[in-house]
Order: sequence, then structure tokens, then C-alpha cells
Amino acid sequence: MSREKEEKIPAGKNALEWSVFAVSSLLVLGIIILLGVDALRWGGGPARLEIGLGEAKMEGGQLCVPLRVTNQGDTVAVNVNVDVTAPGGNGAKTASVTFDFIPRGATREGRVIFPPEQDPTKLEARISGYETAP
Amino acid sequence: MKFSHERSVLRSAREYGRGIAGGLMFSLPLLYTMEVWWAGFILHPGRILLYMACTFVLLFLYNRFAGLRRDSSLIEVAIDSVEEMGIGLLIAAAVLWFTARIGPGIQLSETAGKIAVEGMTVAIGVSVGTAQLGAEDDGDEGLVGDDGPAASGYLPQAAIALCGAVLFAANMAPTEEIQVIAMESRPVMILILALCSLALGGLVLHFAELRGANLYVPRDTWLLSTRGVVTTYAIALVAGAGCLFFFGQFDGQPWRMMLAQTVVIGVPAVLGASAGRLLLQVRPPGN
Repeated sequence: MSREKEEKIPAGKNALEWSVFAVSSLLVLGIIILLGVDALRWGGGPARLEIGLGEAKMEGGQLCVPLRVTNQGDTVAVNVNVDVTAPGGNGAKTASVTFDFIPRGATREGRVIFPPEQDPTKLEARISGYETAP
Repeated sequence: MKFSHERSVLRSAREYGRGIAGGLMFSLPLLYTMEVWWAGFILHPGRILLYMACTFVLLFLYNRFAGLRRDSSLIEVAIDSVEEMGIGLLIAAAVLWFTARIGPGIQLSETAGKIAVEGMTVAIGVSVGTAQLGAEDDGDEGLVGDDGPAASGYLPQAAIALCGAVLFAANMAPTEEIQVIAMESRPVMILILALCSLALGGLVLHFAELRGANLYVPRDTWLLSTRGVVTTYAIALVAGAGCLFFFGQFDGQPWRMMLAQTVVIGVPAVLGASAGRLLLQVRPPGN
């Protein structure tokens, strides 16, 4: 360290310090702009959830149906329950999946499982409930 | 622009290294806490911006009164504070990416929220690490700067106590446990908790003889001692309530629950405002 003290040191901040300051300023400014724009766009309305069923595939002897839920609303949806039902009178089958959170504008994916004999074209998906964030 | 300090690139790099180590050390629990990730997309972006502004003020106060270069000009202190925020954001982004909390498929606003919420606590850790993890002979001012005596004044000490309280309280404020304890405790237990917190503050400041207590804790008269303990607890409650507010723990709660939560978070916060405050100012022997 004593050798270091004897080095000729440039006056003021050195190049590394200015670089770190420049990058830090850009980062802080960038985050502020992103959050600021997001704050201005914040509508305060409820969550608006849209479900899309994907192409069913046989996996491990079961019919796996992928699904996507997108929140087009203004607030986060918490503990979102999605029920996928195969109508069939008294023998209706239902498979469910739960998502912890679906933030504004975000999409979450999951899968529901049915017996292999199930016809994938007759499946109906619906949101059976969710909590709203305070 | 005139600067009070001149350092070689190597010394600056070492300082940043200490900051990164401190940032990770003090904030790793938060970086690994689910409730904090969730806060990044549940909270209103305006509240996160307010959190960033308050963090900047805290960093500014800490750097001014207890940081490495307390004899710096206000502009230098502001520059240091911005650097610490930037490093905090970078560390938070890196850890969140390594742990798959951000990345492709995650919306930009969600990513920004998570990085901002996590990055601010990391920034406080960066500031503390830069100032406190240094080698014995780092050539900076530390506590023996020109304004040494002024920093032991009432308001500077209150400011450093606030920093310590936030550093401790922010680690627990986002967790559900605070709500659970507040909800399930009888009012008399909450009262006992408040009295214990006050006693804890008194014990740390006036009995346990922590390093630095003789320098920074006025104890000439009973009045001064009492004022110190009461102020410390008040600061702890304010810091705790602020953290609870920022992490959304007050949202939709009745005032009794808010009060109980504040008292519950007051326990770690008073430790931060008393013991933490002294530790934040202790420099290695020889400086």
C-alpha cells in the first residue's frame, strides 16, 4: 500500500470512477424512465385475464393440454385458478391449474392433464377465481 | 469541478470491490426472498420511484456523516450516492438473472420493478461495504476526517441511526411473518414487545459498551441518555413503518394492524438504529 501512495495520481476522479458514474447514471435514469412511463400508464382497473389453449399432445399415456393466461388488465391477479372442463353430461371431467401471480401484461403458461381417450377439441377453459392485489 | 480526493485506478477498483462485497453481504437475504420479487410487480411504479428517492437520501446522509470521505463536497457525496445506486442495480440485475427471476419472457416493467426494489437495498450495502470493509491503511478519511466531531452530533447520529434501522428492517419488512406475528399477538404482547425494544436500545447504547459507544452516544446526564434511547426507538419505528409501507404491508390494513406491525418490525429496527449505527461508524483499528 505504501508503494501505491507514492504513485503519481491524477487530480480529481480517475477514468474508472468517471466510467462507473456514467454507467450508474444511465442505469438509474433508465430505471426511473421505465418506472415513470409505467406509472403514467397505470390505469387502476381490475385484472383482465385471457386464456388460450394450445395443441394437445399424448405424453406418458396421458393427454397433456398446454394453456396460456395473459393479464391484459391494470392490476396483478393473485392465485389464479383455471379450470379446463370436458363436457359430458354426468361424466364431465375437470382439470385445474393455479398460477401464483399474473402481473400486468404478463403471460404465464401451464398444462392440464386428461385421460388419453379425451377428445381435445371439446375442452372448455375458464378462470374460476383469483385474488386481487391490495 | 474540484474534488477532495485523488486515487489511482487500482485503489478505486479495490473500493468498488469492497462495495460489491458489502452489497451482496448485507442484501443477500432480500435477493433470495420471494416477497421482494413479488413487490417488484405488485407495487405501484410511483411507490417504487419514491422508494428510490428515499434510498438516495439515505445514501446521501450515510456518505455525508459516516461514509468513507466525509470531508467531500456535497456534489461528490451525491456522485458517490448515484454510483452506489448504479452498482446496486447492477448487482441486483445479475443475481435476479442468475436465479432466473428475470430474463426472456418476463415483461420489461416487471423486470424494472424487480431490479429497482432489490437494487436499492443492495445500494445501501454497497455504501456500507465501501466504507467499512476497507483495509487498515486505505488513505481515506474515515472517522478521523476534518469533520469528525461534527459527525458525532445529535442530527448526524440520528441520520446514521436511520440508515442502520432501514438496513435491518428492510430485510424483514417484505416477509409475511411480520403480518402473522402482528395479527396473532395479543395487544398486551405487542406492548411488551415495544417495552422490550426500548430496553434493548438502552442496553446496547448505555450498558453493553459496544465499540464506538463512548464516541457517539452522549451520556453525560440522565436526560441526554433518555433522549438518546427514545430518539433511537422513534427512529426505528419510523424506519420500520417506512419499510412496511414501501413493501405494501400497510395496504388495506386497519390502523391497529399497522401499529402492531410497526412495533413488531421495531425490534430489528431498533437493533439497527443502536448497534447497527455504531457498527456502521466503526473503522478498523489504526485508522
